[in-house]
Amino acid sequence: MTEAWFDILIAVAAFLAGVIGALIGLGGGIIITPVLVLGFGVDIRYAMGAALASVIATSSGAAAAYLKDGISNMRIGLFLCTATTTGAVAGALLATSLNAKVLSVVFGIALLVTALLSLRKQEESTKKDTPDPLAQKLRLDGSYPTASGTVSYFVHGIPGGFVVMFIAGVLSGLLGIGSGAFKVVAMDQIMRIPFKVTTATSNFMIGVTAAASVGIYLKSGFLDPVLVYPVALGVLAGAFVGARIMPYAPVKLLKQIFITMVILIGIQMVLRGAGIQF
Amino acid sequence: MNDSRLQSILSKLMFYGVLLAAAVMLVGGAIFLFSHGGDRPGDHVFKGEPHDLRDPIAVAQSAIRGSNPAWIQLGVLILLANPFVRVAMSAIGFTIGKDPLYAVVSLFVFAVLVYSFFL
Repeated sequence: MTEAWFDILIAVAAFLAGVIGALIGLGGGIIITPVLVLGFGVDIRYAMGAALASVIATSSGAAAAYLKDGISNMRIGLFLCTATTTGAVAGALLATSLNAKVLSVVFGIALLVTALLSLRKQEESTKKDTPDPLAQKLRLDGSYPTASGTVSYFVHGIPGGFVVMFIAGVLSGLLGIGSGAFKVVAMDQIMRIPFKVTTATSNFMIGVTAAASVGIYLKSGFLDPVLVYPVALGVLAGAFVGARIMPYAPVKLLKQIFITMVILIGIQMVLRGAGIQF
Repeated sequence: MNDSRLQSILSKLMFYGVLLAAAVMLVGGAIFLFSHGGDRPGDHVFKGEPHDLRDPIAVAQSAIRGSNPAWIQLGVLILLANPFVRVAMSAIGFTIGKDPLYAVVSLFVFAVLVYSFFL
């Protein structure tokens, strides 16, 4: 296969990953890296570099839309970014000292956990909503526009959310992923922030968190421009198309198929890292 | 400056930043394919990128000399600069909005991002 065909096929695969990511809110780094490693035989470190760049691309692209809607909460986002960025720096430093096999196993496990987290039902919390003193001190409580007027919300569980965010940051730096699934758990489950606000704010944070690993990836030679450009452009185009076909797509079915795929890919990544290939 | 005005400025900035990065990568990638399209792809084995593609200043210098991968890398760097700008703008926005706590929080995040480039 020549470089030209290789790049075109990668761009097509990245495009599909971008479409799926936009449709079911999962994807980007977590799916591109295994596709590059298992499907194209790319070394996992180059794959992680390209995936991380594409994560920043989609996050910035989507942030443009979300910020305009006024749904994301900048205070929550920036406050939690102090945890995710420091975690990401630690994770990226760890990544540069691990070999491809270990990274492959850890990546596979992260895929399996992500699949499990995605299987959870997304329900708004029904617990009685009272203000949390720490959240009030930090002025994290907010409101967001809905079809039936502005809805205000209180933020809870700040220490727990902060710790999970730090772990999400470590995973982001270690594996070159946005770790959006983990961020959503912290905000949605632990901090009990409304789902729409969680999604928009998590998207803002993903790009900033990924940026904290980029310097380390760049210096360690993980960012191969010749691989990054088809991946980043493909994912961007895919995310753009995905957002537009969203109202017509069978999202629920796609999600089920996709989660099954993620589980199979996760197992394969673990086996590959352990030296078992089939 | 209030929150919604800050968000609307940031949103425009993000949009044009991504557009610019994509355009530079697209042009750089197309030129690359014209000259190297027939080569064998080389990402199967990890060698690490050459040193002139490993830090922002060296990338800019190589791009000026006309190196094609450096041009693509420049597009990649513009893309990666987006979150930096986003956080810096937040720090400015919170400062103007007389919100010292979140100005400091934004500055801390910005400092971590910059620090990561010097590790």
